[in-house]
Amino acid sequence: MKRTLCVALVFQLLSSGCAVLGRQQKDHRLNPEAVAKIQPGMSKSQVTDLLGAPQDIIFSNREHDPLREHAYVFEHTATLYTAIVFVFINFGNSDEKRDRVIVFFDENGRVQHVGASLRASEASYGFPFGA
Amino acid sequence: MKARRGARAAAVLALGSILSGCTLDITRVRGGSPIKEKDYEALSVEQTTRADTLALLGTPDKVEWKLGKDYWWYYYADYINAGLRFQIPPPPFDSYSGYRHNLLRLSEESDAVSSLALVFDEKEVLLQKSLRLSETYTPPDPDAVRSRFVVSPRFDYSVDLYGDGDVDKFSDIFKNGYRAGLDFGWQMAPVATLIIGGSYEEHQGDHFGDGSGGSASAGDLRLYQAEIGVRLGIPLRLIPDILDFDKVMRELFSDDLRKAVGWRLYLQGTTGFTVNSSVDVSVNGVPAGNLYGAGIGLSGGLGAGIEYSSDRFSAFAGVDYHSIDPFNDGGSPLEDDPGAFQALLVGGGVIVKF
Repeated sequence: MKRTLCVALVFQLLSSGCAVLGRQQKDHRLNPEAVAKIQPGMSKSQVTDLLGAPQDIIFSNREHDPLREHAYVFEHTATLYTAIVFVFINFGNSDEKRDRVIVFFDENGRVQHVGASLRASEASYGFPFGA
Repeated sequence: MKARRGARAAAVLALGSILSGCTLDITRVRGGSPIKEKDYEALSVEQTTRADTLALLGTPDKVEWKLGKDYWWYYYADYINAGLRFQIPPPPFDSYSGYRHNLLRLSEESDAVSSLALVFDEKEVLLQKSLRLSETYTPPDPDAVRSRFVVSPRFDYSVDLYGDGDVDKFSDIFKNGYRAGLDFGWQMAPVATLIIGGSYEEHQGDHFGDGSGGSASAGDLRLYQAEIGVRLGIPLRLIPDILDFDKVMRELFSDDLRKAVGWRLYLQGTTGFTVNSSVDVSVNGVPAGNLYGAGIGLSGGLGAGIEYSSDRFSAFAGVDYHSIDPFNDGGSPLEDDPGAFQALLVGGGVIVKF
């Protein structure tokens, strides 16, 4: 399906010069191998050595220790744009997918859980139709 | 006669301006990953843990921790922005009227976001769950037919020709003719088919004034076209509900081609190139070379009509406006520096899907 779409888009580009493909990326890419190395019990510095600085820190907001770091959020966003101009009708498509890793820490600052959804590479060019 | 010609020219000019100045933009925006209803059902209050949830749903899009409770949200956005813009003057000139959609602007972002909210207690066990699916959400059908190739032979007859052939109008230089074509396509959704095709068009030459009181006659014009484009099919049953945006989006987002049946309005836009034959000309019965030289030019078309579709077969009838870049100078003594050749064609064809 993707191959057919690519052939169609290339043909369109060559024949009339009115198809545009665009890509936008935000923040650093996340290395799946580094993400897989994060295990429960690791310290915060071990996590940041592997993944770098987090984009966001979620604090506990509890009464007795409001500034305890509850979780680190690492994120990379990829957006692929398709624009096709047919004289009077223009079609656009934008697909945004993210790599997102959240590392939860316990009260001793050790890794408790890791959640990883690496889906940035699933972003695709396309038409504004279909599922 | 002059007044009638003037009125017709004005009407054609107005139609051309409206068509070329009007732009319909359809943009689909998707953000995040779809939320599956069955995943939501797999979450059990007072049983599922935070770790189970991470394993099942992946990372949440938003996390807040307040007074010992974890609040998680998962979001998925899928919506269409549609807008109609009228530009003065029409493209490719710079617009005096701006580039925003000034006739129609539809966006339903807020209703087209699915969200799943979860609350965990201090023991990391699910305390509360809630789901809101977009109005346009429909459960995926595993038996859906998601793409098909199509073949479509068609035949059209031109009812009028437009454009300035320099020495005279094209409608005086050539007679109305026919066009026969064959399109191949890939139906990627019930409403949309990507098409690539070719056609042969022929117009017999006619007698016309040579511009200096004499008479001239043109040879036949033959056109060979290769174009690519998109064909949209809108079910007639959707027309009364066209302002019900959720219904329209459900139709656009459907990927089951088995739904592309019944009576439909179609709209087709194509662009590509056309090769034209040279056109002989005689002045007062004496051969005078070529009125237009053979050449190749960009061309484009816009068609609309009605079709009836069954699962594997469609038949359609409609009108098609087609425009071809000016032909080459043929080197005859007549004025032969023409404008774009345009034709209004009426016809129909069939579509076989496999």
